[in-house]
Amino acid sequence: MTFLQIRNLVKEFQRVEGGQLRVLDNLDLDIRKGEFVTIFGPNGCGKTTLLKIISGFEKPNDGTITIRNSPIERTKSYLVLQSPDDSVFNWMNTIQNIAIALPNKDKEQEISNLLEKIQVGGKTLLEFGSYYPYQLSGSLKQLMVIARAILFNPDLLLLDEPFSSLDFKTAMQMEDNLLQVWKKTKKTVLFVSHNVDEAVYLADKVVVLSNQPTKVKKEITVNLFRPRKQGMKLTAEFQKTKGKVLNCFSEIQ
Amino acid sequence: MKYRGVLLIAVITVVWQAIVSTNLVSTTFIAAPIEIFFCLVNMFAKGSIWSDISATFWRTLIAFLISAAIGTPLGIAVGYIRKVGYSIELLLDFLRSLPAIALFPLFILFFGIGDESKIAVAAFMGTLVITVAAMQGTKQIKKTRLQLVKKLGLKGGKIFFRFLLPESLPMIFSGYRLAVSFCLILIIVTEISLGGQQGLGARLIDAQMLYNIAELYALIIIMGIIGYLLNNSFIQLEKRVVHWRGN
Repeated sequence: MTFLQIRNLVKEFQRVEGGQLRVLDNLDLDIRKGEFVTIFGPNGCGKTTLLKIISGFEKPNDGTITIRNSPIERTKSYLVLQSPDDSVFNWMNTIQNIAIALPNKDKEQEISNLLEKIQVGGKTLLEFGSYYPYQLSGSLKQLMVIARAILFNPDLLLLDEPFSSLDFKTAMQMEDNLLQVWKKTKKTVLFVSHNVDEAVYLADKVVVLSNQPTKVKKEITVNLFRPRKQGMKLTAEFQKTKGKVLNCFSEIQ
Repeated sequence: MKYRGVLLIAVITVVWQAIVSTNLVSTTFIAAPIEIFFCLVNMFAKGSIWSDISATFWRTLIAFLISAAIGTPLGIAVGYIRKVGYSIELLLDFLRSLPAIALFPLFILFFGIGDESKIAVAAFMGTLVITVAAMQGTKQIKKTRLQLVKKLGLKGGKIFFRFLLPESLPMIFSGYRLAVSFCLILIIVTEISLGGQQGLGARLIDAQMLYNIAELYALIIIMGIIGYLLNNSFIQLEKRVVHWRGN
């Protein structure tokens, strides 16, 4: 059953030299409830713009986006931005930064429970609870933002290349952290990635976008079983799927 | 580094004293550091200077507090409501460019020659400085961040107190520091131009008229110290309140 439905989505920007630049061109996309979808596409094809429109940060020029047949304004969504610095509040410590997403005051227990489960480099995120963002590394800040997103409890979780600034090992840990949380909460996730391994590893379905003006080029189903393990990246099935994505990608001019 | 700074001042003082003692310059308008020092000791020993210091200090502080109370919310509001921002910016720019002291004769007509007119001039300048700083601070907030905050469900007063204010606070504090210096300057200028009453500026102009050169220098030094202490205490306050700045 379709959860998120995008039909004929058009987004144009004003060019500096005059005229309109068509970024999204009659884009259609369907996503099922609880599905983990990654979006993969060339630079500047409008991946971020697409996420911003879905989360209501930008208005489309044309087209419809509905969730369970109702307009997106009525849906609780959360967009994790590429740089955690755009999402963290520097005057709040980790706990406060997360608590801002929760309406009730007595949510400390809930926050602690989640932060205890998120591990990074042998430590839990809870150990950094009283740290301020400027005392944390980029990956810890991004984990904090993701923890906030999860506790905000959105129906739709959108992530825009959230691990792109992390080193290789931390990014892998983050992938597994995210999958663990996703398994427990059963959120519908839309994840933009520019890393083909990451895109395949996380997803039920990889959506490959074309060049500008952007449409959906192809949807590729990932048939790896869950729970995923990092070792699966070496399996023939993984390589086959990755090959499909790359083949499709290489056709884009 | 602090010690070197003190050392430099000490060296300048010694050289100054040496120049005056050896009669290289005329001492008509130049007082020797030793003379100034004894004048300072005398002023504080007699205690007469305290009432002038406190008069200037309180006028400055009150002018600053009025400036902060009006300028902070006004600047944030103007920065936040960008459309209003564009139409009010010209007015703000004009008022800010206007030499505030030019309003003093007018304010004397309104408020009389007491504290009120002096504070009004200083507060006028301070309010504009803080308003502009708060406006800039709020205007530079990324649109995405504001949308995020709204998405998280913050509304009305919460957006102001929990987001706009802290987000603009580094800029606002720069404005505060600038404003407190301007307030001190304007309070002293108004005191000088009226004379006769309490306040360091009034005492300064009296010393000049009575040809009391050592006291003139001593008062300048006291004012310098007050300015330095005010600025420094604001830096300390800023470090505590805006602890995330510079990190």
